[in-house]
Amino acid sequence: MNQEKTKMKNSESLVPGEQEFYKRLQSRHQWGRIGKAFNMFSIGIAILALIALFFNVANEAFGTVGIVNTIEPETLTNGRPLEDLSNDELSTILADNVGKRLRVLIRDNISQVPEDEFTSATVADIVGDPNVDSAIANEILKDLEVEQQATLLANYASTATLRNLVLEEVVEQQVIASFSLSDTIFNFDAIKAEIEGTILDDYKDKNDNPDANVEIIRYYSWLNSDFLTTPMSSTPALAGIRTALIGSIGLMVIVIVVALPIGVGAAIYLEEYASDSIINRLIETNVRNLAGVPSIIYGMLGLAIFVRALAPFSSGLIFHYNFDVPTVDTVVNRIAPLLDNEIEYTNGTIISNSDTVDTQTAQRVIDTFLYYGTPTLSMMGNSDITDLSNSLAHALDTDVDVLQVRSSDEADIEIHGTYYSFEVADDALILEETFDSLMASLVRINSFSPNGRTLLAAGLTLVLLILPIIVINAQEAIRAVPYAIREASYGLGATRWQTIWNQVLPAALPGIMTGTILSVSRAVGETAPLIVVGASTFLVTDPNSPFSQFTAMPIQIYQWTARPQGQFGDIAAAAIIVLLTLMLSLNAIAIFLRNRYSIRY
Amino acid sequence: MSELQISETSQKHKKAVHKSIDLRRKVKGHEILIQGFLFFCGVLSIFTTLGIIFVLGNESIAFFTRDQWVNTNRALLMDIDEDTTQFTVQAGFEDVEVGNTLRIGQEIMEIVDFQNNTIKIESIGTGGGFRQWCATDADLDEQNAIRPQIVNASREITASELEQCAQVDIEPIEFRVGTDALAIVVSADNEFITEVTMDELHLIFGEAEIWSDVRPDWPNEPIQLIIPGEDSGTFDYFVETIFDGDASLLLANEGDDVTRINEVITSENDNQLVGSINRDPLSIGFFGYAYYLENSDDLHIINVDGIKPSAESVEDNSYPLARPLYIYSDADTMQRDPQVASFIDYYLTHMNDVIGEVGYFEASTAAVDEAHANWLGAMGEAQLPDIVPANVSGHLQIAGSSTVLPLSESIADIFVTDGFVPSFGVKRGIRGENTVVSHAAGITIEINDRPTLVEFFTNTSWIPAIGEFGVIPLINSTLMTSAIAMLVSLPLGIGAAIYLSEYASPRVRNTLKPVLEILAGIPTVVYGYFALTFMTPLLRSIFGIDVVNIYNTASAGIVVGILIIPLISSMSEDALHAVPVSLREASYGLGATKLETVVKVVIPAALSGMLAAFIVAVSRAIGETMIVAIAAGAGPNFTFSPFESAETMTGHIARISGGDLSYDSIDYNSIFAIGLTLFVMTFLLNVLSRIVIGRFREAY
Repeated sequence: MNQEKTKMKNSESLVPGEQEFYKRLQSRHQWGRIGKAFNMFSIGIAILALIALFFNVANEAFGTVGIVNTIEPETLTNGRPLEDLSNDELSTILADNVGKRLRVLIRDNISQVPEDEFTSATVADIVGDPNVDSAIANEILKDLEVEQQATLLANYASTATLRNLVLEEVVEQQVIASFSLSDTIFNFDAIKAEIEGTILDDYKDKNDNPDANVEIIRYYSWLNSDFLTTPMSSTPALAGIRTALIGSIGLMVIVIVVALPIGVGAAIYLEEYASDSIINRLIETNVRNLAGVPSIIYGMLGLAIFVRALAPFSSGLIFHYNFDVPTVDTVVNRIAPLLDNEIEYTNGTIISNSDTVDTQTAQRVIDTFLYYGTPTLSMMGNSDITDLSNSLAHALDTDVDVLQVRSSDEADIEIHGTYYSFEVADDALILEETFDSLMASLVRINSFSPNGRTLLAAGLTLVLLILPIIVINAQEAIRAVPYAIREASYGLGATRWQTIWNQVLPAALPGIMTGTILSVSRAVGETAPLIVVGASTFLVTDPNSPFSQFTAMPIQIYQWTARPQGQFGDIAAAAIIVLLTLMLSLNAIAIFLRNRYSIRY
Repeated sequence: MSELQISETSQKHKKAVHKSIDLRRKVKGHEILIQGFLFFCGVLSIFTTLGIIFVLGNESIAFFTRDQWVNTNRALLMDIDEDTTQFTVQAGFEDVEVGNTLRIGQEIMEIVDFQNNTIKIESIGTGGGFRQWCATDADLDEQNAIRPQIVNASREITASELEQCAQVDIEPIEFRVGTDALAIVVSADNEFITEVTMDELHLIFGEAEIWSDVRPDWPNEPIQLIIPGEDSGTFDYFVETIFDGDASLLLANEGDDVTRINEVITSENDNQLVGSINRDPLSIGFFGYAYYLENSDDLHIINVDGIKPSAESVEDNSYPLARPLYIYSDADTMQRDPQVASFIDYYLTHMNDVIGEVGYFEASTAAVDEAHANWLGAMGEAQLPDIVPANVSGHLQIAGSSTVLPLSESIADIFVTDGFVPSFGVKRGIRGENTVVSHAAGITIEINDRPTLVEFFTNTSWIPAIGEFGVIPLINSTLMTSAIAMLVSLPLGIGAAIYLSEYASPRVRNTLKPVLEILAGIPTVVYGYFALTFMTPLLRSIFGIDVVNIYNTASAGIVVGILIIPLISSMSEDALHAVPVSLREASYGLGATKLETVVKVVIPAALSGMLAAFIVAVSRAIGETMIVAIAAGAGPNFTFSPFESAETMTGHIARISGGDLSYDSIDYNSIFAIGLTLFVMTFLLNVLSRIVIGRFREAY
């Protein structure tokens, strides 16, 4: 009796009545809807994040800027518009305002000789015109009067170039305010008032320039053609991504050239040749584990192996490639013309018998030293920069204030990553002994060891990083080729390699290419390993060989993002757009290849 | 014939066939080369792994075995030439052991013998000295104090203190070292008071509130008392002499029977007393005669009962405020630590040479003789041995009265000058390239402080500049960002996977999957930018600018989470997809709703794959670099707050190697030690994910 009751109860709770059933069903469906909503919400968040990310980048890369001229063009030209001026007038303005920098302008704009021969070349060689005024044709440029140099510029540069030079060198436009795209769209009146009010006043006070006018550009794009074609600068508005773009493309080329054959080779071995032996299983497992190793670890591997252990290789030393690996002799030869070839090098000291050393020459010599000393200096740490600064200060006699820093950075010497720049004051008097001791201290500090922090080392590091991914992708592509094709090939008498080369690879190629391009696209976006192997953070010369110092777009973005000034954030956003465009076009190519050439069996 | 023919032809035929199908002969040399190259390509991956392990291991070993020279601010006391192996140094070392190395100039020496000869004298008052001397070990531990071997006392030990000492088996032995006269002093600007009587002292330091209460011709102004604190022997002695041991009148401001206008100012620091009395012409105070002598320009001393303190008046006991000075030790200590016995011997022998300079008065010959006798009794010897301090070694800990302190200090000074200084016995020329040279006195000594494995994993601060290498703060912030990332990405990633696999129509799926792929393909540096310029301001506007630092682990963690959503969702979706449709259909057939099917049937079946996705995601979050390098902040910081900046392992490696890194620095080695830790963590997680997939896979 009792048992029956329990049974009844149990069966009651197991099988609910109709009413109860519908009630529960309702609640179950309710839960079902909640579950579905959450799942949709999840993917919604992911999409939202993507939208926020793109919006955020666009918001910073475009917007409103306020531009101020350091010197108003009208004051230079007595009210005439810049467009109306002739070559002579423009070059006179340049000569009046930039003085000794005129030589640099000539070098950068009209010189026909390589940069390293510039200082010792004759005027005729420089302008590449044997019919130049015979009075100066065989002179060296630095011996000319400023007026003569200005005439050279006027005769050999185009009006447009000169006008640009005036704008860059004399008018010196500065961006004093920058606002985001959303502000520009919704709040333009307020920011206009702010720029013309407080920001402009602030600028006037700080720069002692009460006549300054601000030009406001609405919908200014930080991403413009100049941005793509100019190198790095410490002024955000003038900075470009050219060197980084070239660096990234260089890395891409190295990665494709090296990683593709090795990765595909490994995949072919694993899929077509490898028997089920311990070593082959180890390789297989190992490839999969390597794909999960954090990228920064690869950077450290690259630093220890490619940058340090293989420095003679990665710096091009063993190929006698004398780009960034000078010997003391190279440097001595390089500076000899600056000192009228009156130079002698013994036991770590350079003795110059030149009677006078003008400050320009001293500047060039120091720059030459610093440029070639860069590899070692960059490794010596901050304390040694102080040492260097002290030696220089000592050698140049700080009493006459000869050591100046080019930018207004707080540090004694501005550190552009691995490049240290000094400026010697124009009125400095440098005694010969002083100069010699300066030489000695510089030679002592720079031991000219090979610098392995090159494009090649970074490229090889990235190769190791993406190799496992290429192998896995290629394996899948090869596996997708049906076995029947191989058997047919064998059946026709082909050898194993003939089968692979003539049948399997062509069939798997679209898949392999797709995987490789996607991997390369990942390599292009990698930052951490490049930081560790020592990408330059400030590089103004284009990398022109695998043995050059390099920088890459992600590095540039990281550098700019890490800087506190707001305008660096804007150019970082612009650089991100360039990087994403590059990567997305790579991906688009991959998808196109997949859809166009993939063979379905 | 035909048979023969047939067999012939067939043989011919066979031959021909045999020739044409022997394909193996056609394998040419270049194919073997190709196969070799392909094998090499495969093996390269193993070289990569070995390379990683070798590089990280090699540099980590260098990190732990590298000499880390720490400047000690302690210098050579003597010139040493090439042959010297024994030399003395200025001051003691706390953490030097025999077998360590030290560096002088560029020369590295191994320590074979070390005498850390140092004297430490603390001024904690006579009572404090006795309390510390006779405290139990537990009490000493609690106060983080060291038991003194010698107590400076400006009065005799009391009965209660004797009792306390007996409890810890210390039998104090008393050594009389001199006599101090208590000086009653006023400011040099005080002109109305030149002498007092003992009774007037009782009034001044007792009931009187204003000066005219004591003598009518003194000003009608409040008396300001500035006296040594209760722990000093001087105070005890004064109270004993003037108030018969009852301190309540002197400290009446603390009780309520007598109310003073001004509070009594007390201080254990005699120099402070001197300053305070000097500044206030209406003040009066007392302390040891020595301090008066040192400050006789600032203070006036007052005759008591018409007698001025001097050698004579103290000697013949006519000055009423003279008191004896002692040092105390015990026989056990003296026998156990011979340096203590030697020091006391030296003290007793030389105290009369310096006592005049210090400002005290010699004890009577009888008292000194008694002290000698006490020493001989304690050591069981017949005659005081002659002490050569240079031959004495050990540490001396002295504490107690500030009155005896100057005397003990000057004895200690001459003890040190006579040769009681720390000394090293070293082995020279211990390393090949290390040349033995001479060094001049005054050159700084550096000691070797290598980071140890234990320190690496237990120290909670990472400050390479001062030799602190504890990886915990870095690991902590790495785990924090990873945990935040998992909190964000796990539910969202799995939700997205379930939606794509179970709910979405093929068309929706084909649209949404590429979106996730784009999300996965964006470079991490862009995510870093996103974290810094979008997520951080967002968090700051929600939680407040004061709460959320510009650089914080929360923002970095959330964005790392967004980064790995596609990873989790795509791996989970693969796992969900692999579950056979028949299982779902069976579940629907039983009347389950879609959610019930997903939760109770599909997810359990796909669990191994989803677990693996989780583990791989954790590994990815731990190894993520750029987001944390940009958004989590620079500088290791041991914090559990997600809104503070804290550098992760990867962020630290990136920051250190991004600067001007010298290859020959501990910084360079240290990032590899961190890298090895990171590698091991992610490697274990990857292996674990493989095991999980293998072991818990449900095969259908």
